[in-house]
Amino acid sequence: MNLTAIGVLGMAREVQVPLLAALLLGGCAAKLRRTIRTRSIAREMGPTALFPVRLRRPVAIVVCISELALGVGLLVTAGQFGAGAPALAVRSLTVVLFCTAVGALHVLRTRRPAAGCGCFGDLSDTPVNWRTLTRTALFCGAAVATLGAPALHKPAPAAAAMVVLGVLVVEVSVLVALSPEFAEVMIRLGYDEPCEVRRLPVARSLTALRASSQWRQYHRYLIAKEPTDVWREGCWRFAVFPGVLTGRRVEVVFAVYLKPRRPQVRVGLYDSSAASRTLPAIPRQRQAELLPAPDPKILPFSRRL
Amino acid sequence: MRRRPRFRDGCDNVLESATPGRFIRRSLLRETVFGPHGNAQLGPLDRHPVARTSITGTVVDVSPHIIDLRTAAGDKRLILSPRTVAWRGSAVLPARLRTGDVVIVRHLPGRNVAEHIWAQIGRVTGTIIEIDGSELLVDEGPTRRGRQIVRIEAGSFRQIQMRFPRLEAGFLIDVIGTRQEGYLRAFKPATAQPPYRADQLPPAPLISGHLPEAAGGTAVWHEPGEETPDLLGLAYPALDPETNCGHAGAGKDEPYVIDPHAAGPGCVRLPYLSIGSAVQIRNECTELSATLPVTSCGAAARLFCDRCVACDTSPRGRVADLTMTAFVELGGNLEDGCFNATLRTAG
Repeated sequence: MNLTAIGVLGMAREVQVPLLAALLLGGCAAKLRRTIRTRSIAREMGPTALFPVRLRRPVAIVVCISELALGVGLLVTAGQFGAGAPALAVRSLTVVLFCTAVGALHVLRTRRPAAGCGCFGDLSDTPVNWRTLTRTALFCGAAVATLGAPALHKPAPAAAAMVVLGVLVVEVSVLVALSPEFAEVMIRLGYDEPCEVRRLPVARSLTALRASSQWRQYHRYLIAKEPTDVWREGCWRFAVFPGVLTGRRVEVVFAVYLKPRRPQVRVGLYDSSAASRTLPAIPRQRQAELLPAPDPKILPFSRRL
Repeated sequence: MRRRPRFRDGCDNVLESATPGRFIRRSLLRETVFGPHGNAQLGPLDRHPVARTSITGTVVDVSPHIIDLRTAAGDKRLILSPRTVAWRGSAVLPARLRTGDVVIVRHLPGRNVAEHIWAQIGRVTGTIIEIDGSELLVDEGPTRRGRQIVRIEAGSFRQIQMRFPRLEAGFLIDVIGTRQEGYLRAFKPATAQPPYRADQLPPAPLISGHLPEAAGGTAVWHEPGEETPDLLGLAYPALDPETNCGHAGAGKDEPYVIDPHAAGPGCVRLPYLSIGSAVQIRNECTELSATLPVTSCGAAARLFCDRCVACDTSPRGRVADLTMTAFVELGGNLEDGCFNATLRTAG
């Protein structure tokens, strides 16, 4: 098979359908992720900011649903199934969506120069610029190219497959070059969130605590399964359990480091009954140092009695 | 399936009566693991907690030289000197204060001589919901007092509009005035208006590694609400979202009502703390500092990426929303609205 320029262009047209579907679904997923994270779709930025406040929420929902529906529609009608009128309808709607996006971004750039395009959720906070506009125009062109493109099929010779791959690589490279989101992704990939602001559910900290050796050492002295108090200070989450040791009421304080895997756990003991009478005579740091072995003979609070 | 922890119900609230002292004990319990707070020791410029220089009460009688107050600890008589400054919407002579006025007084350390008196002072900080001429309906957020009515005095309208040019629904406002029955009579702007809408907060800075030990920014004050008037503490902007009322669910039905918890971390990255945690706050203008407990949620402060220019230009963002008493104790002037502050976690 001779790979003429027209043949290459024909194959390039076929590639646009899955590419556009992936972009639409990716955009929808990024918006959903942002909505779930902030628990508010009203936080959605981009062209929705052009609408009155009361309309932003419904507009954001419509945009997200449209992306999802068209992405799924493009994939479903890409092959022989749905070829013909259904495929043409879905692809035409995709053209309408991207052409509208070009216009909306142009207006957004004029009216709100500081606003991001919001195309890929919170990755798209960079103000709209010529790169964003060019990228959306390219999407629009790609959507137009899909009109009338044949159903997807497996490229027969290896050379044709290589051409398809080459077209994909070139196109994705151009898109990456035009996408401010790529730099944002690279920054985030290399970003290690400080433990002081890392969000970790309490349940996860308690699970980690119950899997720790400190828990195994002390849990026999506890008289409640659930902590009486849980709080956080910076990188540490504290859980307090009531307990009884050598006949005295104590509170066992566990500190769990805010780390997703194998967090460090520390323990402290607080003698509730002694505390009401006197302040401890020895430094509390010393208590923690003495705590690893739960032997009543060396427990620091017993010395204070 | 992830099981929801059953250790507590509802939000942490320092005013809760079911387990009084739970939050106060946290610092003590923490020490059993890590020892005493390293940074919590009083510095040379720290005021000792018992050396209070502020009194909150109601005016019982006032003459050119003496003011009698009714406070929670009993009646108190203070001397008015020629240097005593009084504020009631604007600077007034102390003798112009009225019987029944709620006042907060800063007196000279160890002496019963009033230095500064603020009468009926109030503040509204939040998002404008509605505007009708010079009357505004402001939402202070779920962690504050909800809706507040603000009436801007005719003579102060231009001054406020200079600092808050966009008196429109959806934009932020922060004004100081005198507290009236059911509304605030606004006399002056507390800060300058951030240029963005309340729901379009600038993205938070990305910080790798550990957060810096000290965070610079602006410290503001809030009215006591349900807190005791002489409470020394602060509303902290970054309470642990897992155990401290992360999301109150506001703003779902009304477009301009913003849940500050959902608005992002703000422009200062502060470590997550809890009610009862201790922080050290330093007034960079007076160089006074104190270690104060976190007593309430100050998530609304995250909406304001503003600066304080009380003595110099502070870094952007609010690091603490102090109680009135704490603000006055640290040398702040309530009518200024803010001071340049540095916040350190005390531990």
